[in-house]
Amino acid sequence: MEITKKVLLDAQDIWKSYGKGEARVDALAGVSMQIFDGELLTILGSSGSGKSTLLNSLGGMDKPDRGKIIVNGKDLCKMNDRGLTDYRRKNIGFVFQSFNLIAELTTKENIAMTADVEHDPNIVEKVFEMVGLREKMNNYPSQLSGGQQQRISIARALAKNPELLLCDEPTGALDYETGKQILVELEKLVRKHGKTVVIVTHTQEIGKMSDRIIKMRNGKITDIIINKNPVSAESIEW
Amino acid sequence: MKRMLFPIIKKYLKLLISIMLVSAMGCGIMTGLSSAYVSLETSLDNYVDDYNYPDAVITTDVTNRKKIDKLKELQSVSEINARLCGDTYIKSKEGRYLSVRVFSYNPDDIQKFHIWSQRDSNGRDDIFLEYNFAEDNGIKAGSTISVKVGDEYRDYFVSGIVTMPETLSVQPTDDSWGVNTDFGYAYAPVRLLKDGYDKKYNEVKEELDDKQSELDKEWEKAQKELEEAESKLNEAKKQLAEKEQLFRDSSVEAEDKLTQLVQAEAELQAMKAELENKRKQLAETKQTLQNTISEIKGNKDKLIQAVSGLEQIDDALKDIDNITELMSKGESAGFLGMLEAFPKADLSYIFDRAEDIQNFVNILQEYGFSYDLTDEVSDFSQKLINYMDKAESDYIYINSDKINYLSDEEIIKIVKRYSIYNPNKSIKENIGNAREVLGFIHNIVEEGNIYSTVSYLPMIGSDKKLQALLSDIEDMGNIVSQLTDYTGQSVKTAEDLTKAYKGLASEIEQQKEALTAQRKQITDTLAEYGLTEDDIDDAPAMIEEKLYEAENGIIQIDDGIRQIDEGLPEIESKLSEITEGKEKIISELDSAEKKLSDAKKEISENQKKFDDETAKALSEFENLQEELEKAYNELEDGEGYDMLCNQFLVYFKDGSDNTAELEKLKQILEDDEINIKSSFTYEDSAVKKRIDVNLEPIETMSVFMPMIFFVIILIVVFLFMSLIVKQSRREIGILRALGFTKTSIKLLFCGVDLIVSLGSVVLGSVIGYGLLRYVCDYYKAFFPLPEFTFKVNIGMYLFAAVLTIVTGQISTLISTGTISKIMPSEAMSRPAPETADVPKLIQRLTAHASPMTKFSVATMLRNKMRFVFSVICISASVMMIFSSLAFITSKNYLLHQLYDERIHYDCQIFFKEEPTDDFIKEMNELKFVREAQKMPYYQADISFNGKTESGVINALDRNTQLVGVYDRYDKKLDIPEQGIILEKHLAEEIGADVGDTVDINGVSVKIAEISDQSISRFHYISYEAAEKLGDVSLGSVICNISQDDEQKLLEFLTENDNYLYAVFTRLAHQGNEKIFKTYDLAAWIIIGFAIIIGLVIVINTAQTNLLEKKRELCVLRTLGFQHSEISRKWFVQSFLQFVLSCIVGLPTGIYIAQIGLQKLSTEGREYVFANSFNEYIFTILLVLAYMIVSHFIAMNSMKKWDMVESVKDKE
Repeated sequence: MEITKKVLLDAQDIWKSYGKGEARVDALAGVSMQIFDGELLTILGSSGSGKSTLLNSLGGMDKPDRGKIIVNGKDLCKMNDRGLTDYRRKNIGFVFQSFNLIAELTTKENIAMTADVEHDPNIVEKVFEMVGLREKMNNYPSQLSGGQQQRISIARALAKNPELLLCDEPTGALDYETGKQILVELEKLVRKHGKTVVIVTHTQEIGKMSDRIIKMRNGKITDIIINKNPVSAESIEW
Repeated sequence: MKRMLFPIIKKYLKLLISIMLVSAMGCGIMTGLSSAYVSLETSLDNYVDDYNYPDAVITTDVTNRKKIDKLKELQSVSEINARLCGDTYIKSKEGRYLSVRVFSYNPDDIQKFHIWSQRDSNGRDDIFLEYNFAEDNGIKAGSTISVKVGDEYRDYFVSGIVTMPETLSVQPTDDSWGVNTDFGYAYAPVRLLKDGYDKKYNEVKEELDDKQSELDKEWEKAQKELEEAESKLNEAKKQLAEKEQLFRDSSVEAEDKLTQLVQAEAELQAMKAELENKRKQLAETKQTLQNTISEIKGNKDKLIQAVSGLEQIDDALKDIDNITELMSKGESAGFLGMLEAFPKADLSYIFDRAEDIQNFVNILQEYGFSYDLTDEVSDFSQKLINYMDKAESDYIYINSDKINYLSDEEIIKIVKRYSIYNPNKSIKENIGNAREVLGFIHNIVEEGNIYSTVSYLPMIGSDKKLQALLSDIEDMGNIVSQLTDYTGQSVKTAEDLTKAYKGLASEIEQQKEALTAQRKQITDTLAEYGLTEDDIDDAPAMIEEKLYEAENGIIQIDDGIRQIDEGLPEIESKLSEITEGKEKIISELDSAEKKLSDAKKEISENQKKFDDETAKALSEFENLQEELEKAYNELEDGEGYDMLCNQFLVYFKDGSDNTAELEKLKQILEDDEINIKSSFTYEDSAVKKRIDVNLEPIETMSVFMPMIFFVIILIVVFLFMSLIVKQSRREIGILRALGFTKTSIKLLFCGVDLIVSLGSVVLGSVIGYGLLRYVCDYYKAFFPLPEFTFKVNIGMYLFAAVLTIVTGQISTLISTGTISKIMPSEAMSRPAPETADVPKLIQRLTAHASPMTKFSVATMLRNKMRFVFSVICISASVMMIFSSLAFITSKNYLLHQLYDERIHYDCQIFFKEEPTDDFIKEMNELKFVREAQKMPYYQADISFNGKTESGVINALDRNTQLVGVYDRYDKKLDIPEQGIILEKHLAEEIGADVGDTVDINGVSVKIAEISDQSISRFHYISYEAAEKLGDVSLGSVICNISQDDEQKLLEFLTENDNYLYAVFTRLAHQGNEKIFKTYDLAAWIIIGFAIIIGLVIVINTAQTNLLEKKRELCVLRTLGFQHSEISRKWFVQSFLQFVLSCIVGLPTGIYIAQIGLQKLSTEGREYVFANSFNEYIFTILLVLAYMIVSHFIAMNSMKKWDMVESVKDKE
């Protein structure tokens, strides 16, 4: 697949550190990267490599100490809380490792609630259709399997029709088969529906299905690999 | 484990501070209010004690100070002081006329005052003014004021500003509800009052002159009365002497009569004894006769038996003689010889045939056959046989029924044929006869024995023989019968008869002998009883006669006894009469003697009394005369003023019943004809009432507020500690994994709470002390006490500390109960998301709500206990706010009713006596006065059905418009033409209703209406109806006047001697509002605390709910929800709490307010639950406001959350 050149997000020399003095840890140390429209990007790294910090910074959940993250010509780092929230609402869909569905609400309500915040939301039924769980609309999260919950989580992210879908270890809490199904769903979103998906994971094999792979270690990008022949999610094994 | 204590405290510092704040508030209010109450009470008590407020005060008409000596005779009295007091006016430097009550003081009394400031008078006329009065009117020590003395104003030097316990009362009269800042107290030397009492001097002198004149008159009158009394006494003595003589004469006569009676009594006694003796004898004779009768009756049976035996023997002998006679007769007839000729002849046959023959002959004779004695029997027999043959043939003929068809001639023929025709009878009778005869003949023929009978006849021979034979056979039949009876053997044949006859002859002879012997025996027996044989027949009669005689004797004896028995009661009656007569005579004698003796005694006593009274009257007169002379001297010597007084200050000994002793003192004064104007004990004094009224709210609050707070503390500690335990789940799990026991972990949290509680106690103590100072300072403005004792209620502090700690520990132990359920492995892992069991009702209500709203509601209901407790606390807050506001409204309503309703007027002026119509007219002519009218004021006892209550009756013109005076059914009331409008409280207390007639000061007045007012004791009556009530207690005029003209009015009034003081509604209202500020303070303190409680509860509950859903909320933030969006949706929780709290809190508040107001209500004033719409609105808005503020404070904390960390898998 040829990489399109339309830059969706441009991160430039972003730094983020925790602690002070000797205890200071640079979670991100001058990371620069871009996300292109319609690509499936995988950020690989071991625990503590800074991949999740990077993801949170890109998603407007965390503010880097330094650097720029340009989205639609605006620097996220200069936005206030309201602006960042607005950014998340309009541009970003999050998929968490632990699903983070609201237990008190049905799956439909979980999704509808997200749809409420989007001015031009896809209809709830449509996203259920996309993740293939239409029959589970009135179930509570506790009545679903982990895979189903994660698919609902994806549906929730999609309900806002975001430009960018950020997935933090989407298979981390799932077994192999279920994790694979989730990856299939994500692949489908990119390949079939033209969405841009960023997956943060420590599983190397997942990179094989993506268009690009960014490898990180100690808060720095160590490598950016362009995968000209991404394999299907069905075929990968880990 | 101890190391964990402070990390936990640090981690949950805010929550623990909240707990500490609430606990400290409870502790502080409890200690502060109770200490404030104790401090105030102690300070006031000390003030009253230190400055020696009297136990009782009696105000009288002006009298002599020496009355003290009489009053001191009462044992319970410890000390009595007397002074003058009077009302006058001061002209302030602004020219304002101020009413002032002036008490006289002696130089020694200055030491008793509490002097706030003092200046040396340098010999000038000086006066001491009461602190508040001086402060309010800007009068300082050292300044000069004009005081009205007599008819003019004189300058006096204000040598000091003072207070005394009695000046704590700011009311001009005990009955006035108004507080007038224009009224004050002053202490002046006697000389000031002396100058003011010139008029009084003349009055006293005039009084003394009157008394002298009266005394002279009375002495003259007394002398006259004494003479009359002596004359009457002598007359009585004379009458007594006459009576004595009369008594002696009567005594002699009575004694004679008594002697006669005694004699008569003796005679009757003798007669009675004789009769009784006779009776005894008769009874004995009767007994003898009864014995005789008994004996005779016994003998009578025997004799009758003997006579009967003799008769039987005689009968037997007679029978024997008969038999013998018969036998001899038979023998003489040759009867035996005949029988011997036919030994085998059947006797029965013979007898039957003889009977037949006899019957036959009888028949023949009966039917008229001639039986010719000359005829031979054989001829007769032949004739008879022929006759019979013929008859038989005729019978056959007749019997063939032809006879019925025969003519009379034919029948006659037949009858004649038989020679049976009787020419004396009718043919018909003859025919009847003939038919009978023919029937008879037929019978004989039928029987068939006639022929055989007839055949015997020739054997007999002749008719005479036949007769003899038949007679013999009859005799023989008798003999046979008797023989058969006698021997019991059958005699059938002639042979048997002969045999029996012969045997019998000898037997009869033997029997006769035996019977004769028996007879003799009987006659002998009779002889024993004195009866001869000749008497035998008469013996029963003779016995009966003897019995009769004896019984007759008994009857006579009984008659005698009866006569005696009848006679005896008569004798007894006479004896009784004699006894009564004797007693009567003796009694009459005694009575007469006693009367005589009493009369003597009475005369003797009267004499003594007369002598004593004469001496006493003389002595009293001399004393009075002496006193009068002394009073004259005192008055003239100039000491009289010092001796004048009109107020007694009484101090009783410890343990005395002040009320009862006061009554005794009043009685002594009343007995001395001194008019008592008013009297009261300390307990009933306006001072005490004012103290009580002011301390009442603080006392009530010091009891109720801590109770509410400690319930809230219990809930708050439980809620927050539960939350801390829950939040510390992970730490607890680690500790449990490390081997710490559940108890040690519980103790850890108890330790945390203990530190918080100790902090609460310390902080509470500080708050309490601050509250104590604040409340006491606040009260100082009302009570300018020389010394204020801040008394920290140590006991209450300790109690509050223990209560705070115990409450905290209990709540902690309850909340840490969940620790036992936490397993280490579970605790350290992420807890499964908890979902709420949302009630169906809520589900339905939120069915169409947004998911975010549903999430918010579900979160709130996830912990129902917390939700319920928070609602309880907020409800309590609502309740406190509402009830406090209700109280403020009620108080305002009370003031409104007191000053704006009833009758609207700007000023009420009081006069000593009822002002004249001319005066009212004069007032109305003043340009600045509007609508002046009389309102006579009656202090009256109102009675109904034996119950009495005192009240104030205002008389008004009938055209006066009553404002806001309604009956119990909200009907507006007007002044009735007749009868009275009675206020409902008094009506209820005496149990009277509309239409009943009550007694007012002895006058019957019908109840026209019953008004429903919060201020009791005000009752209305028209002028016309009031006229019957007698003299007014106080004259009063009401009028309207602008504030600017008040001085002009006072200037006008102070010129009038009758004027007492004026109460301006405006000032009284202000004064009362000042007092009521105490109540307002209490109410606002409660409202303030209620708001703080609400804030703490709502903030913490909201924060807790937020924390529990931190992860979800952060996810929502990640998904792009703005903080404000979440906040709006989250507010549904607070709103639901608010709605439920209002639903619970408002009705509770209504109830508590009603109870509280009822408790605060007194006899004179009722705090009505006004149920104002504003209270509800204000409460709701206030609660809503703090709910919103609390919510935003809580929501603000969300901004500081770390979203990234919160959405991670680990907490």
